[in-house]
Amino acid sequence: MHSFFAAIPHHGPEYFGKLIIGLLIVLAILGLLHAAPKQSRRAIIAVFTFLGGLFYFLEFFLPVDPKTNKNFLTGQQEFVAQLSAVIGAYAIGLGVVSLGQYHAKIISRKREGWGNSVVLVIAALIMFTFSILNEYHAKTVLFTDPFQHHTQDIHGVFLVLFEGGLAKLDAATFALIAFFIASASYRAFRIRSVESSLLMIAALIVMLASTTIGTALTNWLPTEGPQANFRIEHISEWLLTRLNSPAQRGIVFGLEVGALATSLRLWLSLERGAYFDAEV
Amino acid sequence: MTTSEKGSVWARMQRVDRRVIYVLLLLSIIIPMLLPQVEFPILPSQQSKDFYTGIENVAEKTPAKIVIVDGFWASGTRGEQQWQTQAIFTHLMKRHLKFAMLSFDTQNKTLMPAIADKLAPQFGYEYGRDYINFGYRPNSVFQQTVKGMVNDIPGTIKKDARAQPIASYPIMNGIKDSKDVGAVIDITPVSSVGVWIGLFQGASQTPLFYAPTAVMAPEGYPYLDSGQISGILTGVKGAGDYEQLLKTKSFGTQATSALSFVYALIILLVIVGNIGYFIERSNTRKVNA
Repeated sequence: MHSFFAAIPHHGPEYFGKLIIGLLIVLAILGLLHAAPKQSRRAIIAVFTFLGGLFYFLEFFLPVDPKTNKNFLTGQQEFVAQLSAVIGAYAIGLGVVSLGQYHAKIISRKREGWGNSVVLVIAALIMFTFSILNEYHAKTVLFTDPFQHHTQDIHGVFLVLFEGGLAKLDAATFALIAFFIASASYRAFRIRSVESSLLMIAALIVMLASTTIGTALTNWLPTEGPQANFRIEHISEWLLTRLNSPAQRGIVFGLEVGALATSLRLWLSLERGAYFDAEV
Repeated sequence: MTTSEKGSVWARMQRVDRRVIYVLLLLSIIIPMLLPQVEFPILPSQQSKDFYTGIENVAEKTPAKIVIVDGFWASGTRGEQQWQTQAIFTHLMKRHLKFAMLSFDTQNKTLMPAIADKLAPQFGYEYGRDYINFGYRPNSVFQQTVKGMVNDIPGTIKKDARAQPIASYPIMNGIKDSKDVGAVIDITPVSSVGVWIGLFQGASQTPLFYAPTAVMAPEGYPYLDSGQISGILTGVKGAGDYEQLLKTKSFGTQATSALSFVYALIILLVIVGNIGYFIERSNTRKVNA
């Protein structure tokens, strides 16, 4: 089974043969699952979920051979990781299909904002097409610039779309957040109560200490001795390591205990509620 | 329009038009960028100094081991993390430490190696001999990849970004598992450091260095206290700190000055808003009394 997942060049009859066989196997499994009675479907999913979790649980906790630092399951990690990557890829595919159906419905019924859906579908199709073409025909010339006699290949167009388009839009979107944060912090930080005053003072000290202007304010104080404690960067340090850190640790403990409980419920298929009670 | 219709000065101090704030913010970023001579002295934080000293220790104590640099960042946080990455690579190259890059973001697979490739000629670094690109792995297999590398790095990674077996490169001679890793550096805008601590650092006590965005940094402090993280480089200020410690000057230093102006502006706005709020509240109480 290991060789089935082994990295192979993404071209040639071997690759496409395995791709088709893989797709047929998955379709057959999905077909069988679909045909099975509802109760059996739940049981099958519960068994596979349990086995997947059990593998990592045992691999992590079973003692290892001190010479090799491995137990009998360690060697199978790669196979299980590849398997989970394949399932993850199908889940992404399912998400793409679902997204496509949702926006196709909006466009066909011309609901409010249908123009945005058109842009999304076109952008997704163009990106998908050029990503695939870039993998197999990167050097194929698409057109020649009539003025400069400069040729543009598929890889060049892909770069324009990915780095010139997606990456730049991504950066611009994040950069816009700075404007909202500045405006929101101006409006939110008000001395309305003791708690909000403490929060504001702590935030101002940490912000000031992060600036060269702020640190310059207390630069006249000595760097050693009791007076050094009053340097703004030391007060900020104290806030971060002596107040923030224990609070963060408490939050992390709570989160991790919650995550452990949720993981156990998922692993043992005990989870109920959204997504879990729906028909499978 | 009368003063009463517009509201008192104190009320107006609390309601500065957001467009005015946006323009001021834009100016406080642009002006220091256009005037690089406007520069304030940078005082590196203790966490940045710990980061720097930690890498120095790796270079002195375990120079033959490889350093793994994990990149989760993309264009969204490039403004902070490109400069952190550049400063870190500069330090690694200055100290002739071998390093491997590993990306868990589709954009990072080109962004991070581009920085290493740009710096390499300056320090006589050669691909495959001094540094290597382990390539991109989907985020969905992050935990499995980290866990796999604990016992078998060549078996888990298999091929580099150039589709060649990593074991065929001279840099990988003698590099088998986590015991052969001198340090892990996590340059990330997400909560990935917990996975490195739980699955990798815990297994072999490998020094772990954390370079998050500024908003993520507080998450790292508990681990710094416990000694599981050896240093934190916080956002672009961390990059500026590191450039200061390396005695080099780049965008990190310039951006730290710009950041100072932005923070100063926000602090000023908060103070102005609060003065208005405080005085207006006092006046209202007096009238009601």
